[in-house]
This record gives sequence, C-alpha cells and structure tokens, in this order.
Amino acid sequence: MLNSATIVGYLPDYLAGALLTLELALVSTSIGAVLGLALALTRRSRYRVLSWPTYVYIEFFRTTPPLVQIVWLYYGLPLLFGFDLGAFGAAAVALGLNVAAFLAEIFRAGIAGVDRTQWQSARVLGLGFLDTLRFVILPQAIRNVLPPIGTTIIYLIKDTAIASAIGTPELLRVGQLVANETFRPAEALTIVAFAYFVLTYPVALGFTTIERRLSLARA
Amino acid sequence: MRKLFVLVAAATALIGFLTSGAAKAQSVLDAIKQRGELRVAGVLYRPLISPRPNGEYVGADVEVMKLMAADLGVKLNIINSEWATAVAGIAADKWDIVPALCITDARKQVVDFSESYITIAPVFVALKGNPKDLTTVEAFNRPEVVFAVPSGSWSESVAKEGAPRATLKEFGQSTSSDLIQEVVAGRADAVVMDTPIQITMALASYGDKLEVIPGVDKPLDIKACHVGYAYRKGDTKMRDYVDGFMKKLRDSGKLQSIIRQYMTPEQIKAAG
Repeated sequence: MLNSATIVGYLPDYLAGALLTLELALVSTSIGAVLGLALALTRRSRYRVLSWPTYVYIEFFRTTPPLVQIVWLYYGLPLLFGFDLGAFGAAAVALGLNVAAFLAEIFRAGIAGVDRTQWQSARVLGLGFLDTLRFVILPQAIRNVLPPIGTTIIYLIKDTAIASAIGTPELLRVGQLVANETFRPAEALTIVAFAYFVLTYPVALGFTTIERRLSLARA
Repeated sequence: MRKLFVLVAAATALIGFLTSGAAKAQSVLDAIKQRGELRVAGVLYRPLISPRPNGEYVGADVEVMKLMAADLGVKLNIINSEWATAVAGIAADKWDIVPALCITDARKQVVDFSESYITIAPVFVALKGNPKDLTTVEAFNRPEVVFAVPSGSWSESVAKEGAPRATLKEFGQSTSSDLIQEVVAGRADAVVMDTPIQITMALASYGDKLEVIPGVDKPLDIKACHVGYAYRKGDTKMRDYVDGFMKKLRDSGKLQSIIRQYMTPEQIKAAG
C-alpha cells in the first residue's frame, strides 16, 4: 500500500534536490557543449598534434564510467594537486567532460554531413574559418544532429543521479535519505522518478519542437 | 594496435602519477585550528550518525563531534559522504575525521583510530521457553536448531562460526530485524542480531517473548565491530589530542550518557 502522507512533509527537501539536479545538468551541459564543439573541430584537424590528443580524450571519456570519473575528480584532484572542487564542482566538471566526448562525436558527424562544397563556396565568398563555421556550417550541422543531441542531454540529466555517490544532495540522494528515514522506499523513490520525468520531459518536448520548426523552415 | 599501445601507456603513467601522492607534513590538528573548522565525514550508521533529507545530521557521534569542535574552539562542518569512499576522503583531505567506523586491521593500514567508544557485537535470539531449550550458546550448536539468516550477511557468518553444526535457513533481501518474524512464527528457532542496535529494536517490539543469549550486555566474541573515529595515519599530534579528548569525555560520564540517549528504539528507527 502506498502511503503518500508520510512523504508530503519532505516536499521542500525534494524541491531543493530537484533544483540542485537542474543546476548540475545546466552547468555540465554548458561545459559539454563548448568543449564538445572544440573537440569536434580539433578531431577533424589535419594536424595530428591536434587530432591525436582529441582522439585519446574522446575515447578515454567514452569508455570509462562517469561514476569513476566523478570519484576520480573528487578524490584524485586533492591528492595530486591539493586542489578541491567540492562535491558539486567535481560532479559538474566530471559530467561536463564526459558529455563533451559524446557531443564531440555527434557534432563531428553533423559537420561531416555538411557537403564539402559548402566550405569551398564559403571560402570563395571570402569568409574566414570562424565565419564559415558560424554562418554556414554549424546551422546545417546542428540541424542534422538535433535528435542525438536531445537524447544525450536527457541521458545527462538522469546521469546527474550518479553525483549522489559522492554525497551531492541532489534528487536521488534526497530520495534515498527520505527512504531511509521513513522506511518507505517505494514512495520515496516513486517521487524521485516522477521528479526526473518533470525535469526531462520538457527538454524532450523542446527538442521535438525545434526539430519540427527547423524541418519546416527547410521545406 | 599502435593507438591501443599509446592509450595503455597513458593510462599506466596516470596511475603511477596517482599512487605517488605525497603525504602532507602539517598536523591535521593545526590545519583544523587554522581553518577554524572541524570537517567530519557525513556517513550513515543509525543511531550514531545519520543525514536527514533536509541536510542536517543527527546521532550520538554528531553530539560527540559538536563537543570536540567546541573543545577546539572551531566550527563543526559535517560534509555529505558515502561509506564506499569515506576512508579514502581522509587521505584526500576531504575531512579530518570519519565517525562510526569499525576498527579493522585492513583499515589500520591506511588510517589511525581513536579508542573504541562502542562495540557492536552479535547475540543469538530465540523464543523464551522454546521447546529446544536454547538457553546457552552450546545449545544452539545442533543440527536440529534452525537459524534464519539473510544470505551472505554478517549474521550468517556469525551463525556459521558460533554454531557450526546448526542448520541455516537463508533469506535474500532481508535483515535480521525482518527475520525475527520467522522465530516468532515458529518457522525458525533462532536469529543472529547485533547488540545494542538491532536488539534494542527487537526488544522494543517483542521484549517479553525473546531470549537473548548470552545476554544484551554480554555479546558473543565473534566478529565484533569496535567502533572508533578514524583520522590521518601517523599524525601523532592529532592522535594525542583525540585520545585526550575521548578520555576527558569518558571520565566525565558524558560519552556514556550521549550513547545511552541515542540507543533507544525511537532514535534507532527515525533518529530524527
């Protein structure tokens, strides 16, 4: 029997946890988007001194679990450099670095999907590299890969739950603590699931809407 | 193939770099005073220490740590943590003290401990006036005696060691506190519980029905957990301080009264 009455008193705690989850997702998406774009470009570079380190970075972050990366940043950095990011910082940076690797591959695919002649035409028109990227290539590239970007961001929002492993008081940890205190894990975690849905569904809807608008614009 | 080789080489270099972390020279005690803050790992071992969903911490260890911070003239800062990495956080300088930790030889390799302030140890629990006359430890060591144990648990290993000839009935996904029902319903003869935490709960629910062997205050000498405070290894200045503080607390009777205050069914259950 689900008993919601015991849980109601914890709603402010859930709200605080959900806000922290949202902040984590926003900060790590921002890090991931900027770094991911830079990586996508260096990965395509003719110069091996650029493309090689990028290759190593992407493969390293794609093939190791985000939980390990978070714990490594949280406990490893202070040991090595005496530099402490704190629980939120370590989780946000680790998730950002992680998602950057995935976004880099998506952006790269998007850029590769833009016909070579577009680069050549832009060059002929006298556009520099950055202007070509900004006005010609990226608008088309992003349009090509919107669905995988949306999926990756939704995954990221849910992956923020891993931050509970280092004690970040985000949504899942709040749920675990409520379960622990009330001995009602089913109710406590159902609320957590519902809250993740409320956080991620608008993102999914948003991406679908943008996709539809862009495909209309293209038609 | 060459790419793989470079990746492996890079990973090896990274691990070598990691494990060469140098120990810090300054005593943790000086660092605490300089910082004006005593940092404690916020773990969960009710009723010693447990985080509430709103972020505050409650429990016997929290009271002791408050007194220690006051004694040092600094603020107390309990940092959210998890058991899996609590001990590692000492070396990483995340916190100065991990409370509520069983003192083991393996852990002593990496951290130093205060004296133990409470011992969590096993007892056998059966129904009072049971037909198999289970009133001594030896009486449990017979094949016709059935222990209900969570599989793979501490209770199971205690039963195997304390009553090797008894029959074990294993349960997945349950605790000894759930399994007392088996004994009450007559489907098993005995369970292993820890004293004082689980037994306090069990006695609160079934007090007059249960026989506790050897006794609530006389646990078996098997796999006991002597609980202490862990801090950085080899820090003699910190050790002298912690030892002195614990002695003061014990001599004044304050330590015992805090533990008594928290070892109640209500505190163990909700600690809130």
